[in-house]
Amino acid sequence: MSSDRAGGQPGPGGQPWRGGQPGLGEQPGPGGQGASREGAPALKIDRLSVRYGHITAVASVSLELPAGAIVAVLGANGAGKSSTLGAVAGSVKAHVSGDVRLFGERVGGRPSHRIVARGMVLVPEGRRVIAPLSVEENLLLGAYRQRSHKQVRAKLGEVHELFPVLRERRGSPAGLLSGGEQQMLAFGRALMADPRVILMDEPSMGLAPAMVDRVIDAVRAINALGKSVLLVEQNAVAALRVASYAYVLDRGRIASSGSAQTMRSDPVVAEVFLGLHESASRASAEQGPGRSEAARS
Amino acid sequence: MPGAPAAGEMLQQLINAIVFGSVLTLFALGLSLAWGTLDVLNLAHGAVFIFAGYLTYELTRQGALSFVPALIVSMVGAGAATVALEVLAFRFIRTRFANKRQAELSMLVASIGGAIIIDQVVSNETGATTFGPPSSIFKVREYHLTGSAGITNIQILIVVVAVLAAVGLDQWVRRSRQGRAVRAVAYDPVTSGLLGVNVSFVAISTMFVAGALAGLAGVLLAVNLRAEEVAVGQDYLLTAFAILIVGGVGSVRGAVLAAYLIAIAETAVVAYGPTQWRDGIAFLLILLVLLVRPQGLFAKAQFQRA
Amino acid sequence: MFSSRRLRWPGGALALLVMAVTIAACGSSKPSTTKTTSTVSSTSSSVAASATSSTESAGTIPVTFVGDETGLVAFVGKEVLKGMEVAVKRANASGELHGKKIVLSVMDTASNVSTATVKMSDAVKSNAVAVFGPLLSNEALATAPIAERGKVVDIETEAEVGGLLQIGKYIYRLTPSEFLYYPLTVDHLAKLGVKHVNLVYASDNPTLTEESTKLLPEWTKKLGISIGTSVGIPSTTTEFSSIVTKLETGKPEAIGVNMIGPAIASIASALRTSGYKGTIFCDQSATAGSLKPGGSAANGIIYGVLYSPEMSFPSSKEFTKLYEESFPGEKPQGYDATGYDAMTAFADAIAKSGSDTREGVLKGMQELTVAGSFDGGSGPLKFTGPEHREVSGPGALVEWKEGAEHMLVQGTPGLESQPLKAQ
Repeated sequence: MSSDRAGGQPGPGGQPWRGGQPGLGEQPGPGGQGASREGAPALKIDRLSVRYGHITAVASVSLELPAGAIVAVLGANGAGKSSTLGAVAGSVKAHVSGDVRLFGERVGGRPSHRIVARGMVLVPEGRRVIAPLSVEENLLLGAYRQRSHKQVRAKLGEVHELFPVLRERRGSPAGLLSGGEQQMLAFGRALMADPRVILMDEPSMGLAPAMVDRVIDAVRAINALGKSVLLVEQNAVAALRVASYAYVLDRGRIASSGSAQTMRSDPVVAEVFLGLHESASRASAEQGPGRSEAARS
Repeated sequence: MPGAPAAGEMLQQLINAIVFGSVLTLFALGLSLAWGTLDVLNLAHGAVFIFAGYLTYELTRQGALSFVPALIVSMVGAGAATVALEVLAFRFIRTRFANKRQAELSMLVASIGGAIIIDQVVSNETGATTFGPPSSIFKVREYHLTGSAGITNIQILIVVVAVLAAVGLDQWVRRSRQGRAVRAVAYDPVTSGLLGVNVSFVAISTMFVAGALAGLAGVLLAVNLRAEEVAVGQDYLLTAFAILIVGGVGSVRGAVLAAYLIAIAETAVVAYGPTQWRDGIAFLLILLVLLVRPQGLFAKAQFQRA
Repeated sequence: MFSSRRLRWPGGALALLVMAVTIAACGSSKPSTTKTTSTVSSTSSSVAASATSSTESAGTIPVTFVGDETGLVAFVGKEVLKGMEVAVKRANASGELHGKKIVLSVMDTASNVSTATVKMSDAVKSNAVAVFGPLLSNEALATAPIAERGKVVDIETEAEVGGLLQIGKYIYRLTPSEFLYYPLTVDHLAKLGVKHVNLVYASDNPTLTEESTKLLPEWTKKLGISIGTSVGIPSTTTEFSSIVTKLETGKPEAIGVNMIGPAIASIASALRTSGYKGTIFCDQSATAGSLKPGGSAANGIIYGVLYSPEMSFPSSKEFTKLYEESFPGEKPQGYDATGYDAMTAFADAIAKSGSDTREGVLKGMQELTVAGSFDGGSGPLKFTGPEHREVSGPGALVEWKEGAEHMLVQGTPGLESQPLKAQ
């Protein structure tokens, strides 16, 4: 793990960290793309709604990811976090409305592979490694849109440096990695596309506590490479350790938001996600009405 | 029944088996590709195969095209016909059914529909009778080997093309950037899209390659057999199923091995045994393989942690 | 003939396929497929228009061909219809119909059993005094009982399935069995001095199997020809090299290819490519269509046929002439002759009984069979079979050369299936 190389945690709106590593620094910052505007947020979601038939999963969600920041989206199971990410990444099969801008450029409504081409990658929930392909093939697949063999090799080297385990197990089928290793592979694979923004869907899910720490370190390291990160997590404690700002989603709506500092001390957040985390997830699994009211009272 | 065949005959039958295995390989490659990667059990593969033979017949009988251009046009035509099925049917089924089994079954049914339509087109155009490209487009010549054994130039071409196509396809799927994407799409199309893979393009190009391979087989066989009819496609399809099951679904190497295995078994039955049972051999092999190794000889291993 | 190849599909797919084919066939057949043939002459089409409006006009004899004008055997149905049209033209001009004229209408079965039964019911309900067809064996078996129950004479052609004539006294068959002219081939082989033959046959085709394993051995034995290797293969076989290698063992002077469809041309080509120089003979299934793709490799193949345009019987010459007048530039085929024979038998029956009611037609057909024979396009045809409702013809032996049949030997009337006249 190379989290020690992370040069501190940039706050919202802070300058992306630009290391001396060749290649990784090439990714265009704010204003680097023709359609981008100087100073525009890395990702701006405006009144996003997602409907599956008659069921509304996300209702008019607006949020912002400043360039170079880590912003967390917290919420219980079924709060609409994954639907939000899926809609932004273009991978949900649902009715989506609202405006999504990547560095000021409108990307909403595009199919997922085009959004990748614009510089935003989703690390899906549950890792979703391509199990029968080798670790290296998974990484190469991440660089699918990059046709230059030389550049792909360079990227591969960088990812190996960041996650040495992926080099050690390069020939092994991805499905045979442990959960934590698969998460590293999912991160590495996303980095191979050389994105400006990475969306992470529950990277700590299903991992042992020690592994969660390593994942959080990796998120920090990725951010240190200059990638803006929108981190969706159920594990609020872990997420608030790296995020500078957080939104709380509840039944498809933004329930509250604020800096990580404030959120950590927010009584609602504390109760729902920090203190009563266990019972909250149980309640959400039952999808009982008035769950969050009960939690607030 | 005369006694065991003489040495010359045995050599000849061995050559026959290798040529037959090569024809089966060419036929099964495309079917295996579509099934192994996109889960499309394309029952229209046989119809596309005949369609290509028909195209060559149409293109060459008036002397409009010579062999190689006709082969290329027919392969493109066969690929396009398969892409049409993908675009008009399979694609929608794939996105509409969340359940993979259901989608597979629906695509199978859709492919039967496709087979009927393509067969009908060829039947109508040929008057439902026997057809074949004129012998002038490919001068078939026999080269004598030792004794009475011999091999024709078209047979040599079939063997060479089958080997090249099998190796090429295997390398393409295993090594190329596009082949990697094909395998990824086969395993998880949604995630593949999230990695930047244009899933529908990959599906279309895969189906095109599968169809073009059917076309390649169809044209070479039309030249070799001289005469075909619509039903020939179904006959091959049936043997190809045996090949896919024996070889292991989705394994190019398994399909090639199974193709030669079945060809040798069937030829041996013709040479030594009750010839009318030759078709039964393929199914006896299926049965044996299903009993001993249900996943096929070269099945994909399970790369999933329990 | 037309025990057509079974398309074999794996288990469930078969049922689906059958369903889909049925649906497709039903969908494609237009709601009213009763159409009058326009090719005969303008007068008959205009008369037919009134016939279909079910007001029976005096002076017309309405008949219906429930035939395969589209679908799998459309290429046969179209020829049979042409032959019928020629016969209608001849009969109407001859004056033997007591001043009346036959008007032929067509109902398309689309080569489909369920469509055929519907069309046959329609035909029986119409004012047609006799029906013809359909051509496929399974269609014929399904539709003949409808004609029988409706008490309408049904004159079948091509459908050679067993049991068809046992359905009842209204059912006739005007295509001679293919067994009847195979002996001409064997006879010819003996004349060529052939002593040893090898044989390949379609083991899943009952007709070809019976012919190859029972009849042919009898016939050849009588003439001192021995059958060495006899190879039965499924008609679905698509790989022939191994078969050809086996057929060439023992260097036979002649090789029999009793197959159907493209297998004949494929095997003949493979035999010639591998240097086989002997005679190749086959069953009458070797029609023009199935040999043409063989190109020059098919040259010299001999087989017995029902009809050849070179036949010298007066009634054959008349048919050939009339056909060529009606369809300039076309050569009549066996299918044309069977259509012509069926319609000519019908016209002769009307002439005999003097009545053109349905019962009159039956009476006329019965009188015709009692007379024993009639002159058709394929020569003098003799009534045989159950209650003499089937015919046999003299046939001819033809050789395929450069894309056409050439008659080698014309059969002798009365000697059908009598092996043989050699020596």
